[in-house]
Amino acid sequence: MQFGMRPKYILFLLIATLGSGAAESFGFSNKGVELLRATESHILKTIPEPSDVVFDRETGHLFIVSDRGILFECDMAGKVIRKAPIEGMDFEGVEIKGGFVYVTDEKPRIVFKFRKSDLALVSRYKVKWEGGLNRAYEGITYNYAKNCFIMVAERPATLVEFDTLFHELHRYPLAAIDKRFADLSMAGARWHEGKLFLLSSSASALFNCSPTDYSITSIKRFQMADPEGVDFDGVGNMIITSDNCRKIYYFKNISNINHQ
Amino acid sequence: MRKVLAFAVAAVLISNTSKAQFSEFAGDTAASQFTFSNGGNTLQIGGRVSGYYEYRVLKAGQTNLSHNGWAMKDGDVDLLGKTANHFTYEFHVSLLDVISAAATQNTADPAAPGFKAAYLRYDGYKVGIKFGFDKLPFALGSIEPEHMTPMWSHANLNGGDLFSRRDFGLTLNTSLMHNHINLYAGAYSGMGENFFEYGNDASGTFEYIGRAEYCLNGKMKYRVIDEEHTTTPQLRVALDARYADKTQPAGKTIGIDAPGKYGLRVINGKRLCYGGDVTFMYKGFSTNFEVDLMQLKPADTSDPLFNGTSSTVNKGVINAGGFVWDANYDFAKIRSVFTAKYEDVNVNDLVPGSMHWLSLGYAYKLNGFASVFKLEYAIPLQEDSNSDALKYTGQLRLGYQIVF
Repeated sequence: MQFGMRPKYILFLLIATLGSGAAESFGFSNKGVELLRATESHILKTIPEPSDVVFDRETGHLFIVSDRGILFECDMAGKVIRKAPIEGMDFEGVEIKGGFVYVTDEKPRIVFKFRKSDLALVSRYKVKWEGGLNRAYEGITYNYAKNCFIMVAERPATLVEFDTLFHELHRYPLAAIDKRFADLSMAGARWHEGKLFLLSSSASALFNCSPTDYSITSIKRFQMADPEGVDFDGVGNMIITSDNCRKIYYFKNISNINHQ
Repeated sequence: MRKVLAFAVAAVLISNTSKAQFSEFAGDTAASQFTFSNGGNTLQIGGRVSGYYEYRVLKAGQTNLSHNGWAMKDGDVDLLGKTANHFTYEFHVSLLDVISAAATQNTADPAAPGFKAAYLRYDGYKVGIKFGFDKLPFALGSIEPEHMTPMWSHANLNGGDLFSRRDFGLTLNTSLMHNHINLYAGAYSGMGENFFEYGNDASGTFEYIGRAEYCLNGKMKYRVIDEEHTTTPQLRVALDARYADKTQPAGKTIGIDAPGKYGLRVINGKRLCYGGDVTFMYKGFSTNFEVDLMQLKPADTSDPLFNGTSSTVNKGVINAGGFVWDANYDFAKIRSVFTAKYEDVNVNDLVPGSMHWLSLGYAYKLNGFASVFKLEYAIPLQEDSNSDALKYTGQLRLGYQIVF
């Protein structure tokens, strides 16, 4: 059987696609946006579908949550030390505050509160997100500038403030704050040394934002696909989790990220 | 069946986890899906509505202008649920297909039964288990949702005329090497979309399908367009195959609608399909190349597929298949997507001729592919006048699509 493709159409396809590929990429300008490469990575062999990560400054351990609804405590190489006995459906965000570990369960719209010392379940809070089943709260952190929890919903990119009992306080559609958030999928939020960082999985980008009005201060992008969680260790190295290859990545060359 | 079971056991022992899925509503297109939750169980309601104006450049002498006018493409409703004990279920129904079938006594398109998905899946083991009616893990262009492209329809090669795109059956799926390798295996009725019209055929056999994918950077979505403008090159290489022996017992025949337009979808005899595909995307550019080939061995030497050729000429075998190649760019700054697609298909090597198509597409996205204008122009560069005579030399479709 013969299949023939006329040379002129091959040429047309090549010219059309290579020509268009030379154009500006991505929704916002990449000019001046630093592209970061990981300096170290570890495979999370026993953590299925890892999503968010938070660094515990008391123990030097990591808490990592899984899309399988499991909360793990690990060493810095991702070796599991223990896991919470109570499981959820689709854990996507994790934060430590005051001896407790708070975890967002995306699909059923629940926040779990675990006691950090024994990972016993203390409370469950129902939160509202009316949108897509798999487009709800992906990240959680505590905003010390406004004394409230914030959670980011994946799509449409939205930041929501909650009190400590997870009553909703304010909802901010991020595209209304800055058009560069439009059409992005958000994956995480992290407070670190007086700054608020928001993570986009679709853009592989970290937004350094004002903790009061959430305007963008600076942007960095990663040379990786679908980052899902972000935090910083005790010396300021950035930690990123990705479900794509079940890995945890360290960026040890960005010590000045907090000064931008 | 023993091979399927052996695969399942081996995969459980060595696999990581699995969550690959074909749902058109679990992804990131929807603008305003609604989700209800009682804390343990969740249910999402979504859907899609679209339509276009079609204009055909008719050949001289053609006077029927019925294709120069409006057409409705989608009128879909989708229910996607997840339970606390790792079950996922989905009902995806095209109300448009249901109403069209009812209004025409199922003559409008017997291969469009109304159901697009009706399955339940268990994700509690290392191997995902899906049971029901859904897309088959064969042919990339069939798996990828065309509504997330500027095009209004799939390529001729993988659009359902040569082989079925959906069927009722059991699918196992797992991933290895930290999501770099993704495997599917399944057993299906073999009747494809005509399962609801005829049930199982008289042969009592399944159609078996397998697909193996290697993804350079781990998990990779089934998407034609790189809307995410990935910062690291994404590459997927896949091989797939499907086999059915539907030799009918004496006095039994396959339902008249099931073989489809070219008589290839289900045959009285043995059919092997095999192929492969490559996907590459980086910084908004994407390209897909797919080959699907078919080897058919009808049980009856006088089968019309032989086109009256002698057994010394045809050797009892008919070959069919072809390739399709597309190249795309998502120009995010102007909310636009550009697509060019070329395909070369031969539906029967015992019938002279093959078809060559060039399709050009443009989309203007108001809100991704959830709210989008789409323009498609298809040009038959070479017509297969024996197998599929055309009355036109070009076809334009301009319309709007909403995913909710």
